[in-house]
Amino acid sequence: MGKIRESLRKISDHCHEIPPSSRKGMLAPARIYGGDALLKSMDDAVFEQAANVAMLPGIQKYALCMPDGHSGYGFPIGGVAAVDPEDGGVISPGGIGFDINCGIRLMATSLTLSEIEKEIPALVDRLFARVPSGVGATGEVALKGSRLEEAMTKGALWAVQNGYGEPEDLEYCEENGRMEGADPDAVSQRARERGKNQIGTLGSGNHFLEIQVAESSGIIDANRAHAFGIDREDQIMVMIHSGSRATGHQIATDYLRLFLSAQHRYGLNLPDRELASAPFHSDEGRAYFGAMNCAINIAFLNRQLIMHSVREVFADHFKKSPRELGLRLIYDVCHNTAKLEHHEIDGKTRRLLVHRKGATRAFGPGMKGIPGRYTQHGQPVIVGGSMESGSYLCAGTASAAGTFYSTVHGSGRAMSRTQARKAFNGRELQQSLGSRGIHVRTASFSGLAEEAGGAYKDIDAVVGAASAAGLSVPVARLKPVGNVKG
Amino acid sequence: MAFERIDDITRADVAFKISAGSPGALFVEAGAALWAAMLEDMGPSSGAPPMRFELQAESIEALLHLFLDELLYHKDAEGLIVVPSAAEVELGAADAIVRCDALAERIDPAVHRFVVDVKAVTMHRFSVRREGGIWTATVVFDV
Repeated sequence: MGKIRESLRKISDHCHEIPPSSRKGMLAPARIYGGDALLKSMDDAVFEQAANVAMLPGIQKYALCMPDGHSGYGFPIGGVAAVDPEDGGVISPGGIGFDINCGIRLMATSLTLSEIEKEIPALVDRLFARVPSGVGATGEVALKGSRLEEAMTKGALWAVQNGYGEPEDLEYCEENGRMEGADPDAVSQRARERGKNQIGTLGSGNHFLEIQVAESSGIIDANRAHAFGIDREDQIMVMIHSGSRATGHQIATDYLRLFLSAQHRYGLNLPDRELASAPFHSDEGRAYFGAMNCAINIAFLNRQLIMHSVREVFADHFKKSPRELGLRLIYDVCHNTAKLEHHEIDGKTRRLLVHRKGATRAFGPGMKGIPGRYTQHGQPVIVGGSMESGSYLCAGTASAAGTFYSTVHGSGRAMSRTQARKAFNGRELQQSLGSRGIHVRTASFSGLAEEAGGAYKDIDAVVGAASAAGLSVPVARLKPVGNVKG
Repeated sequence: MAFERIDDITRADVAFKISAGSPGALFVEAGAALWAAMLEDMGPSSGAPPMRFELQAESIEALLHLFLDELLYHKDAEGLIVVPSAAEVELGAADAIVRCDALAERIDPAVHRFVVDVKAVTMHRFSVRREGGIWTATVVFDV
């Protein structure tokens, strides 16, 4: 047990706190969500990193870690921190991550498992052939110059305006698929060049495109499930997990370097280089915020283009239009962002910069920013699991104010990549999954082994802990039946 | 000399300890570690054309970070696997320079078997040290 772990104080059965007295420089307590078993499964670095996050100037209330937390760089994965820009608050690329706006979108279809069960292997093959995945894959839309700048400011709107989607899609994206405040002038030529061929590609690692089924036995909240678009037994869904590709990776790298050299001018001396920061109201802070928003938009655009390809594959395969197949976007959520949001602190509403790294915004019922038809149900929250264990559709609740309306984003890794490759064989795993009705195509069998279900925490426990802590409520469990792995 | 994976630094990503007898050899080994993180099989060499590049930074640590980032840039922007074959590192009072000879092979999914993509070179535990005449580096790649 690490020393900082020993300082944990129980707040409730699902929340523990590291008091600010535990470590010199902490400006607030750090709160770690999850029951005893999940906390035990977290590596010691989670607690160290959460305590370090509590040292960020301008931090409000608590540094937070969600129940799916595991160690990251600077922030833990699952880390959330809100800072007040008007109170010396800083922005830190380490609080967002290298894959800016890595996120998930979930589509409904009007198809059912019994109607298409025999078609799933062929459908997975066609999706694998159509949606570029793996290293070196290039997208159909190469963007540069003024077109790239337009895409960086318009996000998913650029896709819709250029024939890759329907106007209605935008309503069902966080921020309507277009983040305000994007500043292409703050994006380096290097970042533009690195990502120019990757828009509309899935990527690799834990990114995936999955065909799922919402079984009636997996419906937990029928009222919300119906409101979100799950309206028939064994309904087929499609989930897309990807991010801002190399454009975002390079923006994060560029500004990490810049902040490391600049932060001393602002008297910032944080204990981890990956927490390199700049005041939000500084030239460097403003530039990063503008560049990060460009990457957020590129990720929205990326997922929109992938969804468009999915629609075309389904339409061609079933010889029906996407509308006839009910291929409707339920919602698109971001996992790695820093956003200006209004939250109540000690009875006063303040504008805060909320960093979420491997965490999902989860606005409760009635809050601004939720599509009209979902208002009374809360924001859809999509929690991606492994290709074996399945995923969840959840919803935001009114009781999550303590986490600035944030919740879990996935199941969180339990094994390192090397451990997973020793424990699992990719080809055997593919066969085993196939025999269980989960058809997988992958760009890499070793990569597939690294993403085996056994390498991840129990998603039921993670979603259950988030629910028990009042961060989000489960709506439906989604069972994988086909998966394209990057 | 060598590079080895370190498994207790990160669960989601890939970490290496790299060692060599000179700064130049350390950079070459670090490049090899980067490709080892991504590729399980380089495939047969297709007579990759040589390339040469030079980079400058304020310290040897910053230079190694920039050097590895340069290899990622070529991978994504140009679709090239740039494998350093020799490097010369010049350490000055206020800066460091690397001149690198490399082979640049075009990515071909039919030939190169990738496991994962490296998105970035992190600063997490990133270090370059000289101990007893041996240069060592710790590098964590975000995948």
